[in-house]
Amino acid sequence: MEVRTLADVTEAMAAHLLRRAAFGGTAGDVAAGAAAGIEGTIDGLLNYEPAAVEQLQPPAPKGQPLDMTKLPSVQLWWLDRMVRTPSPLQELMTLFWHNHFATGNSKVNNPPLMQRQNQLFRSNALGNFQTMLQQVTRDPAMLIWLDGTTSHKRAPNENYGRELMELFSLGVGNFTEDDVHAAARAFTGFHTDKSGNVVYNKNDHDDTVKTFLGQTGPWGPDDAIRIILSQPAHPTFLAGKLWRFFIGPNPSPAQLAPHAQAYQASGFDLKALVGSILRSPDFADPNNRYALVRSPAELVAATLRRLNPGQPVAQPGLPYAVDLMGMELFNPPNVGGWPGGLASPNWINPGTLMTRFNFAEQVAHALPAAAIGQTAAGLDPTQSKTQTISVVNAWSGRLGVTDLTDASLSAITAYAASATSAKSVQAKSRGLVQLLLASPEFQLK
Amino acid sequence: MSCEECKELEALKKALPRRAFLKKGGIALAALGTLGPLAVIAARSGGMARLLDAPTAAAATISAAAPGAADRVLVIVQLAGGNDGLNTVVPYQQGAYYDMRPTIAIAQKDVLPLAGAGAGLNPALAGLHQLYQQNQVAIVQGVGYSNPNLSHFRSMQIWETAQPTSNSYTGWLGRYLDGVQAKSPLEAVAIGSSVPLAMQGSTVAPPAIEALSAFDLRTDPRFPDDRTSLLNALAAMYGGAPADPATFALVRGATVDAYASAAAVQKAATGYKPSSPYPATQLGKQLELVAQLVAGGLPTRIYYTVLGGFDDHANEHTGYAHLLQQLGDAVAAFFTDLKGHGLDQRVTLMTWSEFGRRAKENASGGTDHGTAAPLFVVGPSVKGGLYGEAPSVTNLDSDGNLKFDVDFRQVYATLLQEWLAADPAGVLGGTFSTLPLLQI
Repeated sequence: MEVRTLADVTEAMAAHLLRRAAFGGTAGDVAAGAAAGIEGTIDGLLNYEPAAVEQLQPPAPKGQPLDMTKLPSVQLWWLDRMVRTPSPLQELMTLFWHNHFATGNSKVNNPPLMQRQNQLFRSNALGNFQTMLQQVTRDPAMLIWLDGTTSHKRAPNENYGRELMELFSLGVGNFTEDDVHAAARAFTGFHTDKSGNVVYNKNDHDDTVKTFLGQTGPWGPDDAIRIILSQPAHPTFLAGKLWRFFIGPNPSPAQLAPHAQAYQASGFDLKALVGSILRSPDFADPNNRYALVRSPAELVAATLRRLNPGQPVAQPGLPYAVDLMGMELFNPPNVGGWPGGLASPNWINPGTLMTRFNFAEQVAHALPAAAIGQTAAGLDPTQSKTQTISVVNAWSGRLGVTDLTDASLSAITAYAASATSAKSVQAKSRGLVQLLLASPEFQLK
Repeated sequence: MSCEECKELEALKKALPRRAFLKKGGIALAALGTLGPLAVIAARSGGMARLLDAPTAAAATISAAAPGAADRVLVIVQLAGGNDGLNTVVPYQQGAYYDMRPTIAIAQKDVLPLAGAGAGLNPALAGLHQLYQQNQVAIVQGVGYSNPNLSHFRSMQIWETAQPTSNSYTGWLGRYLDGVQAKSPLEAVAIGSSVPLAMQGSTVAPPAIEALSAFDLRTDPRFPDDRTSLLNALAAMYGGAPADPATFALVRGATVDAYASAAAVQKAATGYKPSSPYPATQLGKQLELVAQLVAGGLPTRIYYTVLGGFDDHANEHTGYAHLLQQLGDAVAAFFTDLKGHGLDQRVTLMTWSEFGRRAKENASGGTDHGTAAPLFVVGPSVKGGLYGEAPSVTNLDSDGNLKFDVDFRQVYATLLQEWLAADPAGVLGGTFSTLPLLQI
């Protein structure tokens, strides 16, 4: 019996699709995806029921309900959704929007409002982008974060208008400072009341005529959004950002054009845009496999989805583990999100890689004895090499590291086959899991 | 974050299973024990021969006395978000300043005067003011660049890459590191969880250290006898990783550096005690970690820290003073501690921010994105005083912003040439006149 690799091209493609759009999957998930066909699997990922995830009860580590007024609790609540959701692409897109509309509790200082914004991203995850922008504009956390609450008719604050164009919709160079001033005026009038709800004060809205992105009129917030979306720069801007999240780092204008067109033709439908990207030849290009880095949240979610499928997250320290890897959920470093984006090489440096290895150690360390009973039996020094290989296969399949490189396979197999005593069998049963989770393949997607 | 939440987070951090290291120095032995696979990795990594030298270079302690150019350390403190220069170095003798800032101006009576200057420090900078009075602070005024960009990201990119007119993906410190062909992966260290663009070179990815306890390769402490076997397997996995796609080379290189630097850092971190207390702030903790690593004899020349929160579009009077106080107190504590260890002569610290803020306050009691602002260069090797012209608060540009006097690359050129003994033209891609702000 040889160590298993994915010689089957459809299985290799299914594994790639699951890594990119579903926090990975087990060998069984990969086989099922291949059996259903790549098209069918993509459709299945895209066409989730948006409210299905709401069936999940929040986790209660150690029997204690989470205090959702505290940020670590909201972080844990979200990680639990990534781990247990039946709609993984929805949760990945929620993460994408959190990085896109990067809002930090460091300034909002109100975890329930951060959770509310997160729900906005979740319910619109693959919805309509115009609707998304209209709702984000009225989102209390965003109003606090980019100073909408202190922007007034007599003195508009330009923070939201600028970042809306630069970071959320058009990109730098596609608007002028005058457009920033005009946008600031168009977005005046939104405030929050004492309970954090948004109220629109018509009297504090500047309804006079303004020239914005070349169009002149008494523009209000939804006019400004409509005008922004009508700019030729917008579809390419958003397609580029999603391309870099799903496919690879350097899209050319020609590669983006079909997706931008499909998105524009659909009336800013995000499912049309993401579907176009996932079905593209570029997505399927084997050269793009493993070309992106798994973000810390995706790494942690992939680990727990494999090891404890369907089980509520029980470790209250989990958000801190993600934080140590360089990603404090609900506190991106600034409104530009995490540097380089969610799939960027910037996640990797010697320090953060160490925290990934150490997370693997914690996970392997904490495995219950029952989880490694069979493993230990297979690694006994009296067993044959074939037995060792089948143990490695079983774990790589379970953890979804199904197409290991030759170097990883031979290193892990040699490690697992070198037990000399009952105690080293115990060590290697866990060490094997640590190595698979610490493998180069598991850090990438 | 409110204190309530700080406490909650601290409690969670403590609740995390944190196992003691196997034994101090055990990591160094383990790393040496893996020289076989490490050599394989280095050989396969092409151009990474420096890594084989790492344990030796890292183990070498640097003499504290009579620092030569090779012993000098540069500490960067980035003030992220755009620091309000006019409320940092306050032009309190100019009526126009008070006219433009009716609610957020610093009252004349509160300003900490700077002898011989028409300006004074924000009272929250008392710690820094003390160092100024000891001639250890150079205040470079009106720092900026032509055609300033008001986007945080573009302006940060400009400062970090030192390339105002083109898109560069390497930083000025990264190109310095490329140029010196760093002997150790610890030639530069970012404190925190990410490495800034400023430190990205074309061949170098320095480590980020968030916490010493996390900067180690852990294995299951119940099975110490398996540690070497597991670390060897890990090294073999990464050593044999394919060259394509580039992400494999990225994680392979970072792993090699992780092996070498974990051992060196854990060794360096032992036995340090601060010679004087630090404030319990984020920057205080970061600078204490820098002092600990300098004292431990790491070969690191550049440390990088970030203090965020300066984007004061609204209610500047509520939080800004706390930020400045955090800066001033942490920097003062840092140099006091270094002096206690006899190390202060080796260290110079520089602050920077991507831009200053609009001269006129906005209706939210804050300030919008602006342009030129002062920065600080601190340390006993600094010739204290003011450099550059303070920007006029009446002669503004068409957007109501201050005009710059000193190009930020002049400050970089000064530190590269005078402090790090490097060739600034090679790093900056041009020649910039230096400022006489160091005495070495």
